Amino acid sequence: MRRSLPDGFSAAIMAAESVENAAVLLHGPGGCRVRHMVYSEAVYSRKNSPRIEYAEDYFYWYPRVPATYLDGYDFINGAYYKTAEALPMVDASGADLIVIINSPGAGLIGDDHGSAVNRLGLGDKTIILDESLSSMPAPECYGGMLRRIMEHLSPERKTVIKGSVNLLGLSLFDKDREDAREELQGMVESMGLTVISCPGAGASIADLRKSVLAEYNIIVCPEFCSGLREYYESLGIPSVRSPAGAPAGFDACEAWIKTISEKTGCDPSPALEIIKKERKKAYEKLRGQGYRAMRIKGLTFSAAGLSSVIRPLTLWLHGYLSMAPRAVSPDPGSDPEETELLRDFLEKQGFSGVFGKEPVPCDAVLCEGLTANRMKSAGECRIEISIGYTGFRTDNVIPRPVYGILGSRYILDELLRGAKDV
Amino acid sequence: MFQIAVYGKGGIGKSTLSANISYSLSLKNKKVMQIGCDPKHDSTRLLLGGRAQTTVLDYVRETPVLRRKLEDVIEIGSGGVLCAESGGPEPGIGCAGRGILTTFDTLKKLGADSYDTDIRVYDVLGDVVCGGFAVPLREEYADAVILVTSGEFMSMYAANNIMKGLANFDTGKPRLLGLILNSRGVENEEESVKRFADAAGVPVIAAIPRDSSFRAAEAAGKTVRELFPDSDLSVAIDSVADLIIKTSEGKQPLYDPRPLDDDQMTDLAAGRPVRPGSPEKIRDPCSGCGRRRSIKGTRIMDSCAAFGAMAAFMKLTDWTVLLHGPESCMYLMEMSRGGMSRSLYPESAGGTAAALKVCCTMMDDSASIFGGTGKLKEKLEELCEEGCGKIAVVTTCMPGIIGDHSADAIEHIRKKYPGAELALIESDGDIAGDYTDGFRMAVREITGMIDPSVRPERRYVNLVGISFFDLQSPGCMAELDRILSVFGLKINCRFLDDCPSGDIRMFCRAETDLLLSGSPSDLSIMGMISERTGRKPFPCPLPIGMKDYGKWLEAMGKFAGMEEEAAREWKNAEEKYDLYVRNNRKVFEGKKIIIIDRLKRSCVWAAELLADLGAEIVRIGCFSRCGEPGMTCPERFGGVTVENYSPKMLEDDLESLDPDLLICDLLFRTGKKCRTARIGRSGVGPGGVLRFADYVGNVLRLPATEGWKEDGE
Repeated sequence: MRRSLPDGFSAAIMAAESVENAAVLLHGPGGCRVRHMVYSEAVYSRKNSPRIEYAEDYFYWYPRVPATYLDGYDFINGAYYKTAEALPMVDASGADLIVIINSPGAGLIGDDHGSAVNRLGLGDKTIILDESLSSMPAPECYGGMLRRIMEHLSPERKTVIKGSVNLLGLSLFDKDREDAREELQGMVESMGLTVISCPGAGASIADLRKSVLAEYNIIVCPEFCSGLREYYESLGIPSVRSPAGAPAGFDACEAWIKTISEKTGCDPSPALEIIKKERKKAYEKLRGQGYRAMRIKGLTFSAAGLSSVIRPLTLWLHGYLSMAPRAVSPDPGSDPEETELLRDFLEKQGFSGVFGKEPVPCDAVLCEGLTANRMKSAGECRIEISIGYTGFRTDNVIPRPVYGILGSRYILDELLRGAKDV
Repeated sequence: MFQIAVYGKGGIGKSTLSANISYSLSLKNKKVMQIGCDPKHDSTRLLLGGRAQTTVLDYVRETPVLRRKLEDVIEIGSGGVLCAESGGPEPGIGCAGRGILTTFDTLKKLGADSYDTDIRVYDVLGDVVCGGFAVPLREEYADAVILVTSGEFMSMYAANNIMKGLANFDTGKPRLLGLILNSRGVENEEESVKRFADAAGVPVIAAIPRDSSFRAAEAAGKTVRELFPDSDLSVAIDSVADLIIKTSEGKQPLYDPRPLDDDQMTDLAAGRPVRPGSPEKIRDPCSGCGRRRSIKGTRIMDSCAAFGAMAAFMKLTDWTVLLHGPESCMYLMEMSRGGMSRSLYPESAGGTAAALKVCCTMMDDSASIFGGTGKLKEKLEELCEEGCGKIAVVTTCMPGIIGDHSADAIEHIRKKYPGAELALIESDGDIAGDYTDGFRMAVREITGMIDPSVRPERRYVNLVGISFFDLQSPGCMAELDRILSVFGLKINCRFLDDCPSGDIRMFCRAETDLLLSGSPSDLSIMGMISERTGRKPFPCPLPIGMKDYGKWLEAMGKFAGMEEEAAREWKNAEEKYDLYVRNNRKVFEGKKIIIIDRLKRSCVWAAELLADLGAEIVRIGCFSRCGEPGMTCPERFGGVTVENYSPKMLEDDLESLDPDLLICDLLFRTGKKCRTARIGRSGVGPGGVLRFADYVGNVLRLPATEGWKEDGE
């Protein structure tokens, strides 16, 4: 059975919600609002919520993702007047940028938000997203939404701050995003670069405006910045993208650092030294675990996710831990180049029937938490490793992202812990 | 770039005129693009030698996003006119209006705006039936509008409707260039159109006679303007083109029409002088319905009926739920419902995993335009082939709005797979109502699974309720089991908690049905069961709080013929309660407490418990929402109970009453620091009551706020 994943509609909402001081006005029913409002608060909590000032009927205790609360009548008669009524309330809540997004149902009735926006004089701070994003790949719409925001802000690239970069491709959908960002930023900065912003991962409007002054954009996950990357390139900011894909697993982390060094000319050794130390520590731990570590070799795994993430992970699990793939499935919206490289790799290693298969019963499942958890509950795997879209309440105090050294350690931990049961 | 929309009733000849006008404009050295916005997609045919071009919507349906190119949907026609056709679904399915929206969006994304054009002509189906067909009227598109009409009443009626649409997109500046009379040869045609135009306050900018040249040009796949350049028709067409150019240069006035009301249209049809109208009445699309045009007049709901229906069927561990809708609905519903289910039940329960067999038809933009019934059939077949024998289809907003005939798909599958058990819940997202409405719709279907012929067996009981949340912690379940064991009772079916559908079928094996609460929701579920089985519920719902427990024991003692056991249990419970109150009174004595109830759970039991423990209940505040009735409170707390409680009242109470504790069901920050406790899960019987007392007692002795909160201030 196919996994359920967020689609372009949810991605656009989350991308807009990732911008501090931006607010999504959802033109849609309360039902569409409620889960997005809880989700956005869960993955990117803001200081102002939930707050007693929002306890009135309109916000219903939650400031996030306010809506026009369409009902059955509105789908027949249209409800453009509700946009006009909601906009001043959202504006009064202090949002610096408002993004109006239609729910899948509202997209069918064609309400004209433009006239309400113009009549209220909010054109400068409002973006209207009219297109239907239902069942479209989430990454494409996430990056696309960010691009729309940048185009709306339209900051001028007056100068270039030498040695400065943006990190692109982290998103609110990434589990333990903040920890991943901190670690990757730390490694990049250890090489003498300065990170200006991480668009899509909690950047403020000021950060986004400043982001056009960066000398380079460093790509973490290419899928989640598609569209946005091209926007920056059109301004003359080159993208630095690792041929090994996203920095997931020790090997891809090293490749990521080396690529940054090659393109920017900075010294990679401080960052590589950090990874080397961690590799050494991991070696000691694995050796110390003795019999349990031995059990990892030959374990089977299913992996599903974006190609730029599951390709380096598959290579790493295969090469570093000697695990055998049973099903490897790229998510919709995966980078085509990464997808082909992944297919080639599996073919060359003799795992030809594995590519494109949704997760199957095996020892370890690496995919978004919902499916991994469901498979474990159903006894279809012993080890669940959540690497994709994060759920409502899945952030950890001890960081367990998929990226960076933290991600490598997290995966090793889960495998070691689970190996005793296999 | 100047944009003009040509509207008119279907079949009135607007496409023919649009193509002629575009060609004429091109002869006047204007770079023109014509976009046909009619599902019948014949707007540009006469500019392309009689050939139909690929429509944008067909292209979008067949071509992956990354492979789409603008040149695939734009062709160059006569006079260099750039041509595009929207296309649309087959009649009777899908949503053509959404198709127009998608066409505009696609052209924009593919870069149509980058073409160097002076004038863009939109040729739009004028029977404006939904917002989609009105898109070209939006401010960002049409700078001017031309209406094509004949002297036939229905044609003028359509033109009048478009004027109303134009009024709904009021940009503050006039946009109607005028009417073109495209003659159909009806009696007094010119006069009728003139009367209509005068009443609406707009000019007739051209009168195109009925002429066989149109047919000849049609046969040649060309415009009249191209084939018969010296004809009178070409002169008339050129005059319209000239007007458009003048308008684009700001040299021609535009008009703000006064659409006719029903009485005026009747006058027009009858050939009488048209009486004066009332524009305000016409401009209000809600006139006559009595509905308040406001968000505040809307029933604000937590979750939609589709989620409620899906949640209900997800409780049947051997059923698969197929959500007919977009993927985001599926993801978020599964994440919240599935996540909760997994967190409430231990992994070893096993059964819950089966209950989480949920999938989705993944309706996308293409399905919303061309209809989603085909996708539904495909997915159902796929599930049947996979061996899913019991499938519930739940519909979201999208199929509801576009009018998908989901029942057709179900019938098709029933014939093809005769053994399959199928249910269809047409919740249509929020169209059928909120979560509870959808849940009830599904429950009605599920009650149909009950076999009324099953004979009752001694000592079996059913639990009936819409939410088993309060019973799902191990502590609460253990206490319930203990209470039932006093009477030797066993649970037959938890309706509707996670269970196999076999339990539902055997529902009537129980001697009686215990309601989880006396709430309207639980009573309505029991009502549906009663309709199916004729059963009546046990007179007392499961007891929360000591008073209810006493009543329940008495009733159950009588029912089970075990009055002595009931009396013994009550005596034990009372002694235990009294002892607890005596031993713990010092913790609560004199403490001022506010209880607020946002989720409409009755909190009277908690107030009574805390008052028994010596606390002073200084306020019971009930937030009302959606017009639901507030809770009822006994006299003991009458003086402190406030219905329709508001956040502002709470702020004031916190200030004036200075409570030691605020008990609520939501964690939030208030302006004034105050110790808070949650009501949480209300367990049944004395165990539940005393567990809550323990918790509150601890909170009263703990620091006012948790230390970690200080780090975020």
